[in-house]
Amino acid sequence: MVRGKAVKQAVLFRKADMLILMFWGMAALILFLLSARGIGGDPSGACLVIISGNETVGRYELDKDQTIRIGEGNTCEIKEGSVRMVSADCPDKLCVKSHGISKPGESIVCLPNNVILKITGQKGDADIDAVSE
Amino acid sequence: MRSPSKKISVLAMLTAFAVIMGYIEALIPFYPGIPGIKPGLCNIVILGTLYMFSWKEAFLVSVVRILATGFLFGNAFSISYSMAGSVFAIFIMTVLLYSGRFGFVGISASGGAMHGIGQLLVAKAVMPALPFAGYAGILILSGTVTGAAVGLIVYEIMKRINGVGY
Repeated sequence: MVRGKAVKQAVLFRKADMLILMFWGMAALILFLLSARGIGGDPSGACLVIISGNETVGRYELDKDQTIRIGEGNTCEIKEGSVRMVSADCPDKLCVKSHGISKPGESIVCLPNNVILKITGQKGDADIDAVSE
Repeated sequence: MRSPSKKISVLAMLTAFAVIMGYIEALIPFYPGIPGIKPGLCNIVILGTLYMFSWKEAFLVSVVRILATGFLFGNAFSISYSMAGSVFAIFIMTVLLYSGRFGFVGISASGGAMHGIGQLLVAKAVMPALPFAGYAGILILSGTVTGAAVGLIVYEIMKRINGVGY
């Protein structure tokens, strides 16, 4: 089909390309606005929710410094109101390299181990948050 | 392509090239803080194959590349993410390329964005609690930007090898 056009000309950019770039830009912008709605809010009631294997395995207050082991491979740490993944046995270690999280709506994800650290606004509304996402 | 053996060797070469691209990508210390964001250098080869042959050959090269890089550097998870991403990307790039209305920048940028969406859908299926909107926005934006750059590279290559037999 394409091969039939023996002398086809390579084209870099057309007017339609501008439109499609704008389309993706708009899509990204809308999604950013949607997700930004969930981030922020009152940090005083913030609470860490740990989800492992699609089940909530624990909720922790941010005001107490502690180190928490999650299942076999992951360890996270609460320090001065901020949460970090301190170790993981996954190959890429992206979660360990992630910045600390402290605001409601923020999260750290370890994809290979199916572990999510999530900050929620109020103690106990993690499930509502997960559904409304 | 007249001779089947020439076609086989060209496709094998393209596959090897795609695997090497994946390796180069792994060597680049490029960590923006979000899993799933990468330059997408392999798409240089996939879009080139799509342009020179058809979607069938592009899909074939892509599948072999994903299995090869997956077994070398990744795991079952990374294979399924890449597979979903590449199916989405090849589909949109085929539609846009065959429509004849788009240049390489738009085609490749759309491929990059759709690659992110495909990956994210697999991730969301595996982990329902994953925050979706934010990731989708980031992956679409980064895929569009890196995809546009890849489109420019593909254009420069194709412009030069036009009439070389393909």
